[in-house]
Amino acid sequence: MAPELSSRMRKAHEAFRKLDKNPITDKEVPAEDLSLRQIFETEQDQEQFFDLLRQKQRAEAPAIVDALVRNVPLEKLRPHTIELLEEVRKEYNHRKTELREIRAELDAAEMAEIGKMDKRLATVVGQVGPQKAGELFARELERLAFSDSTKYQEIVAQLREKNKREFGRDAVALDKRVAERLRGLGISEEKYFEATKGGPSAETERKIFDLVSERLTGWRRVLRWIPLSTVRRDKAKLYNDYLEQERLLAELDDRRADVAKLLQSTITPEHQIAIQKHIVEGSEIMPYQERVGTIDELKSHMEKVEATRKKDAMQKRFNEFFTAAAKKLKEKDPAKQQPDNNDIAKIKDDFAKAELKRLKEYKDVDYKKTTFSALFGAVFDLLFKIPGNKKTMLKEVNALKTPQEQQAPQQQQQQTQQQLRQQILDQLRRQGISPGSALGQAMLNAVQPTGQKKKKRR
Amino acid sequence: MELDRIKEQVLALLKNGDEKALEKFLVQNFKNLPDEVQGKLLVGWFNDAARKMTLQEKALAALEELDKIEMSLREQLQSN
Repeated sequence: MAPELSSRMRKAHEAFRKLDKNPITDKEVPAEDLSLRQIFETEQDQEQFFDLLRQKQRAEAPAIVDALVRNVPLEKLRPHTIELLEEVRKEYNHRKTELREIRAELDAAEMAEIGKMDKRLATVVGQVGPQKAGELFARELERLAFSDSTKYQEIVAQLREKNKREFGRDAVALDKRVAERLRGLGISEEKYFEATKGGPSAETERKIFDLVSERLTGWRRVLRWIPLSTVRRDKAKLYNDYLEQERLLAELDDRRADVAKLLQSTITPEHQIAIQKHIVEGSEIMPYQERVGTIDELKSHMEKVEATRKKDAMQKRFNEFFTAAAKKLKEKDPAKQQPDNNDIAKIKDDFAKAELKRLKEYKDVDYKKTTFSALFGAVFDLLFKIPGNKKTMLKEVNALKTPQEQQAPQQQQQQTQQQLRQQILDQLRRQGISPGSALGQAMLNAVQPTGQKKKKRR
Repeated sequence: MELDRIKEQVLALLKNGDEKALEKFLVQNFKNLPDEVQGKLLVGWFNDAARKMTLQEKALAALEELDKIEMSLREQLQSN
């Protein structure tokens, strides 16, 4: 590996590297400070670093990864590339520090508390034991830290939020409070649940958070909840108009009903599923082509992935990839008739990387935030064994044939038949037998080349 | 072998299209699942539970606020 960044640059950053914060408690803790050389010593750390680099979504990221894998010395990289690497190195170390601290926080006591948050959690933590549950949780969080920053940060924020509460969060007690409050409103479950008429939307959820987080008073608070068209726009004065006053109060009742409906969904699973469908359908279109939100969508997603994993599908993709790569090589070097062994090895390596990237996208497909998003991701992982790294994928790719290798047996067969035909013609000539005679034709027809129809004897 | 049996059952439940039954099955057989799958479920369910509890707490607070808004509205109406 090439020399590190200049010592002057290194020292300039030393002050920042010494301490970091525990992401859950905010306590100051020693910071991880691995150099690029150290990160690249192990395959796992290296892959995590590359994943973080790719998440930067810079156009040059794949080329940088390629250069690093080929051990291109750092001084041969451009200055802004070196800056990017340093930026990612700092972020990588920050993540490593966070993960180290989180691992320590997720002890048996903490996992027992987490178990109280949900019946499913209580059951499974009980099955494997809180210590093992903590290890599993930490490992999954580590995977997310380098593959899905958004999800990782969401989970860390939730762990942090949980930690703020002195006595933990008891799901059962909270459900009881919700049920009592709803009973206090004097409205039954059935009345609230009219999911077919549309339900609270993601917009309602957002408004709830806005309402309780802001310090708005008076009319500004009211206007948050009531559409402006309902209120006359001139300085939001209340008019002595009985109808308008009644309308405003009716609007408030509707908003209260929206909130109550959402609350109801949190304690009645069947309602929750239906409400979630409305939230999902009303949610923003994500930039992925595929999103999974229902069991049927999961089934078709899995069928699609299964089809692409079949050997003939993979061979077809490889043929196209190889042809395109060979064409590029020829454009670079017109004297090259076809790829040599080194070229073929590089093409296979690149194809393995492309396949792995594609499979990771299938694995990390966007599971809509529904009741069963955790379930769907886990079922996919359970039923599909996707190669964990490029080395494993390369084993599959090496079993594929290059276009030349696929043609060769046919060519060889054709050549053998042509050779035989020529031998027979030579023999016929030596023996003075005309190739056009009945005997000559019979002998030649016996080694008819593939694809040619045998001529019928007349 | 246990894992093969679980996979077969999961496939069958998947074909039936019943999410609740599938989830129940995975909860019951959790300890026999591969580590990676266990981890994914643990974090996923934690995420679900945390979101739900946060929503409940804030929604309860929202109902309190709405009651206060209504009270102040009615007082203003009466004073007008």
